[in-house]
Amino acid sequence: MKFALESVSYKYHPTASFCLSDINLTVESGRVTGLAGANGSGKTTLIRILLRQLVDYQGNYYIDGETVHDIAANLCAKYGIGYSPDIPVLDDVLTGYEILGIVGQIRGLTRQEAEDQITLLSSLLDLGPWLRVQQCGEYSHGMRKKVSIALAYLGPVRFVILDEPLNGLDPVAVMAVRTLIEQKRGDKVGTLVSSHILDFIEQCADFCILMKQGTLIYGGGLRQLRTLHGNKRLDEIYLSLFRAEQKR
Amino acid sequence: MSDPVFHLRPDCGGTIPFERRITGAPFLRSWQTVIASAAAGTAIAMDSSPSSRMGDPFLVFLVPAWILFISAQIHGFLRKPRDSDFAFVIGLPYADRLLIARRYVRAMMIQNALSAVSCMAPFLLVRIVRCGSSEVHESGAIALAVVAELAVSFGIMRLLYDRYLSRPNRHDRIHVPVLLAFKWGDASLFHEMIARSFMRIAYAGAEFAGRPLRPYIRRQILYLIRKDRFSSLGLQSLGVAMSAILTGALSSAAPKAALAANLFIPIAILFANGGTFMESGERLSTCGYYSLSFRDFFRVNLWVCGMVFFPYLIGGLVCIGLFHRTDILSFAAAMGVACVALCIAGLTCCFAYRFSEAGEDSMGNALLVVAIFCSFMGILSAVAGSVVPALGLPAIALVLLCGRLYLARHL
Repeated sequence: MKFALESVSYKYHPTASFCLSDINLTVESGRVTGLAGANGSGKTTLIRILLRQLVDYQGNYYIDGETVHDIAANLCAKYGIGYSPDIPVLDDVLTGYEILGIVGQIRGLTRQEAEDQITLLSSLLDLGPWLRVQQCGEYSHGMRKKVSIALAYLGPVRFVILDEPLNGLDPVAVMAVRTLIEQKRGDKVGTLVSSHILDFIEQCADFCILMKQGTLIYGGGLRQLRTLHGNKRLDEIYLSLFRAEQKR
Repeated sequence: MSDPVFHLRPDCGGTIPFERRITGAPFLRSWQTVIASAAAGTAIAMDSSPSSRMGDPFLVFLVPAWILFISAQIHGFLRKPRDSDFAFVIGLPYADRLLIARRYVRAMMIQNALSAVSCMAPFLLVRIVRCGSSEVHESGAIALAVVAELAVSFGIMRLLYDRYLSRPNRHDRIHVPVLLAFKWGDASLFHEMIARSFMRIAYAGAEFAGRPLRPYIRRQILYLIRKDRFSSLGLQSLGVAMSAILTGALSSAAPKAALAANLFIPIAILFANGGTFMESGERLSTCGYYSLSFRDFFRVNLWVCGMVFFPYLIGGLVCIGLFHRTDILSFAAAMGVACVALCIAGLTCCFAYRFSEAGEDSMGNALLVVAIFCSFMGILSAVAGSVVPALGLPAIALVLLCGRLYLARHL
């Protein structure tokens, strides 16, 4: 599965300046891609375009060579894309277990398969006994985030987009998310992780997209990027690129 | 004065103990006895059969109805103190409200035991006098049934509040003291059992629906139950029980009343749950992991509303089939009207999904209009026969069709 953006630009209002400008990018499943950038650099806008939540962009967007504008069906259902938003939106009245069960069935799992996957995700993310008993409205922010991540990976997904997955998570949960991402990479499930925690991206990503003010500073292999910059840490590289862009 | 309730709120108990304030009303109890005696006398005098049993259902079902009323009151001030009749509980934390609930149950238990005796006595006396000693055993059984109903109901209520099995609402959970939270944690097994039974109900409810709709029907059922167990599961169980009893006990004596009950109970239940339907639709549209078309959501709502109606339809048909075959047509017509009501209800629920800013009252208003319309149709059917529904239903269908065309053009 391959997402390809060709000269994609986007602005939220006709009179406003471009929020994204001339983005050329390829994201493939089966590997982990890190997405980093300053606040307001267009990371979430890019994600929303990838999910076809924003459609009035300029340029071309293809999934597996098919133009996204021509796809009538639900994009996430058709291609098996899971998504965990920055601020998790859950059915507050239901328990996490109930939501996971229902979404698993919507995504075509049988009751037993859904149960197995929920048990697996629950143990990986340490969702605890509250998952089955407590209603989502009573969860802490971290718990909501973990349920949202579990929802993204539930079922036969081929690619998962995580927007700021580490917000509100404790160190143990951060480790758990990293393990989950790596485990799913082994199962050929690709992940796009948008985060400000560059250490995390450095630890788990194969590819890296760096953005600033709606433009792409870098989009390619993480190893190549480090080789280009004398094997420095990602945060140092990001800082030097960021400053270089500012001088320009 | 060692009672913490008195320290908390003088107007709850004042200097007079709480129990005595409730139970110490001899004037009220004497009036209860007089009214019960009058009711018993009238019921038995109007009944021409030698063994008068008209008072029995009244006596046996009065207790559950009263217990239900008390439960609703306690549920009100425990879970929704702002909507409660007892204004003073608004400012109290959950632990104190629970304390008041426990005392209230205890006080009501004493009061009801006295009231039950004062109401039962004239009924049973008049009955034995009228029907003779042959009815003594049956009268004794009824008296025992009433006492047992009272004891079991209040026993369950005391268990709920004494063992911390009642669950605090979300806001209270945040502020709940550590001690209470710990005790509540002891009942987690109970809550897990409850959660499992809800899941079973949801699975059973969607079993015969189309495969793509099943998860959404399960979600809708779970949403209704989780949002307000009393308005959904409680009222439906009670309604079905009432329908069964009315069908069994009243259909021979008062068939119209039994039929009317079978028609209006489900509408009343849908009316009570109207706001939850709307809220569920709104929520469904905001959660990104659900994807459902407007038409499918309408079908989901239709299925859930149909589930509410189904037992009453069966009850009504059994009632007619067993005793009054001539009424089948009018009941079928009334059920037809109810089905139209269903469509309206389902469609109204969908508006929330399509337009999240839709007014919360529209579902309730639609059902109210339908209820009035149903009663109007029922009266006209009784007066003018089956011509009215025969003409009325196509007219409604036409109006609905026009509405649908209008919506299709403008949405």
